[in-house]
Amino acid sequence: MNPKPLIGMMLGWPVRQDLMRACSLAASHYGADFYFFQTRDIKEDTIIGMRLEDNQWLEKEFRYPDVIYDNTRRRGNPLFKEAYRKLEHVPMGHTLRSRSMGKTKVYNMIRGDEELKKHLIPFMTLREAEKGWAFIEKHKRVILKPDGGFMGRDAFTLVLKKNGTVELSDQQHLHRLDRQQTLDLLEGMIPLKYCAQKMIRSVTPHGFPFHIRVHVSKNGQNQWTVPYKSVTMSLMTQVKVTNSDFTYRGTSTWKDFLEHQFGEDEGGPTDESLKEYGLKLAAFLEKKIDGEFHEVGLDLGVDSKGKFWLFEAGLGLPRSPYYQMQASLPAIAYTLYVLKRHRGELDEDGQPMKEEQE
Amino acid sequence: MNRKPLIGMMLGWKIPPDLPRACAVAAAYHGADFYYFRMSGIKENTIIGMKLENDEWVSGEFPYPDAIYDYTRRRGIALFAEAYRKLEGIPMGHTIKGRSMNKSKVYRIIQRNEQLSQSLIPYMTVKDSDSLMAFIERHEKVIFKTNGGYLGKNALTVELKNDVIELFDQQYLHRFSREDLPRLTEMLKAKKYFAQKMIHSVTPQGHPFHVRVHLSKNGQNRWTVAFHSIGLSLTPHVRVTNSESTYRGTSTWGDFLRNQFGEKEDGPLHLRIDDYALRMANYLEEASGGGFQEVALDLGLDDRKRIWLFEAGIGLPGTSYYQLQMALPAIAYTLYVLKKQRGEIE
Repeated sequence: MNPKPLIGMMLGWPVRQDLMRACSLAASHYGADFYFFQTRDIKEDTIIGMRLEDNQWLEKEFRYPDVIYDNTRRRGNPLFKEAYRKLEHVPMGHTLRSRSMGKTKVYNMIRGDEELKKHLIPFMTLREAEKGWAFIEKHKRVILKPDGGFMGRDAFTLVLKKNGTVELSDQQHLHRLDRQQTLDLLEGMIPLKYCAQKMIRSVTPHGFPFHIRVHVSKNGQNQWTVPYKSVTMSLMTQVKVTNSDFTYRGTSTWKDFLEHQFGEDEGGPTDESLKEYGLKLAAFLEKKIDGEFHEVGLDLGVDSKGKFWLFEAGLGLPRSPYYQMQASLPAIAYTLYVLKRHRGELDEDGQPMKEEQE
Repeated sequence: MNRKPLIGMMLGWKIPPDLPRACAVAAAYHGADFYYFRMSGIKENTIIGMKLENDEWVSGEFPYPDAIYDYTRRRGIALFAEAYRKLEGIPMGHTIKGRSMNKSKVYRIIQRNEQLSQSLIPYMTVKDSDSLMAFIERHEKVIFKTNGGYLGKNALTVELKNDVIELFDQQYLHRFSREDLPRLTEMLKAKKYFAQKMIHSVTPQGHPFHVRVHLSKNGQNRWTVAFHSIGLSLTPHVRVTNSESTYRGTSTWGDFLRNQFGEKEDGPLHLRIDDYALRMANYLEEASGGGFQEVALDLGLDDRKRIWLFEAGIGLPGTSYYQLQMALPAIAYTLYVLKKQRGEIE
């Protein structure tokens, strides 16, 4: 009997254990052994990691794994250089360089596709304060965020009032600025690589700002799938950025959300078009981008007319506090696919060869 | 090599596929084979069920399983009698009769425990205006429900404000003076209302909430807290969380603790809740004779962090978000029950 493949899940910092537990269980389901480890615990020939035994995490010394599910994704970052060097010969599903796909870059790529670009939000990289002001005048409601930033951190929202003043929210406080003060602010943001985006008022009938997450993942057959869709709401109505740390975030089931927001059911028109968009976008980015990735988190908003807009397509580490099982099943299946590919165990179509029944 | 144990999950009706999938994954982790089936699929010697192969549910004909995770829990109810008869002898973790642990029975059991009964919400059957007035005066805010009332329907809330009784029927506010009370009492009595102290379990943003603590037996036959989840009523001005028109939401346990009390996971409140919940599960088992493997406690928490028990569910608790957390101990316990039957453990 062949030994079971050994999957290592690589982390760069502490993460909630629910995620690793879900991955460990997914590995059992696909017939693989599993441990997780921190990049700092990689030795020259072994790794100190954690293995789930009888639902308890036990620390042990392991051999290098056969394949890695990279949950660090900092390749090329000096801090993690040593880890990637040591594990050079172990196959991984994610080979993109760290933060190589900033928001602007992804946005500009999507601009190249007639269908996909219909859902792009008007956007500009801040290069001149005056042009930034013109953008604010044109769109009235604008969000400013750093390129490459995450979790809505350091994001500001601006609303141009009829009297020509600007109301600025930093998610905690509201400030009132005149034109000159706004220009000064924009000037200061240019070196920090901020970009401006038209603000989409994505609000539930109850007044909660929200965004939708469409999680797109490769599966064990190397195909893109959508393992889950979810909604995130800001339960504080004055906080307009749903993924900020300052708000109280909530969610509902996807089914309840579809019903309350659109009066639709799962499998209905909105649900289906979000899925199609996610699949198409992932396939498109895969073709355009040199370097591999197998998970894409699309964040979308919906305006009052029901049109959806792409806030962000994240190629980093899309995660959810609720759907670890849904995400880890295809992720681990794909990781095993990568191992088979590495070992040359795929058939002519690139599909895993069917195992003989015992 | 020993054959792997075979677990069957028994369903009485259609449910979303997430929980069976989580159970299949949990079974794989515990080294067991798994299929789920509907009662209609039980034949004399085999069962038509579904098995998860890689990512697909595949229909098949299976032998009777070695142990059953009963997700129907309707033993003793006529419609299901045939199924339980056929599967007699196969160990199951849940063995009590369907709906035998109803609300009032559980309430009465808890009343007998001095410590745990402090979390029970005071209530009274509406009989006369004097005792009702005394009850309202003692508790200031009171909710009226009908016995057997479903999902907060017809619930009324009453608040005593400067000698005026304000009654809210979820649509209109009515004012009564003390002199009106006999008339009001008669009305409530006629409709068989009972009065309950109103628990202010509301987020700073104004959303009524409850905390669900899901308790489960694990592979060592011990009660454990499988997960905490939050129920939020996101529709404004509806005071009763599970009334029909509400938009039900949730947040993570950690975000809730921080937003509500400025506390962290594993902080003092978290530990106090877990301690309470585990004591409750152990007590309920001991006092009722057991025969159940999962208990769902719905708790309210007031501004002074006092724990109030809205409901202790010993029926068929589910979850919209934490299927894996639920399945892991449930499947482990199912295997424990099998080992026990085979005499492999004490």
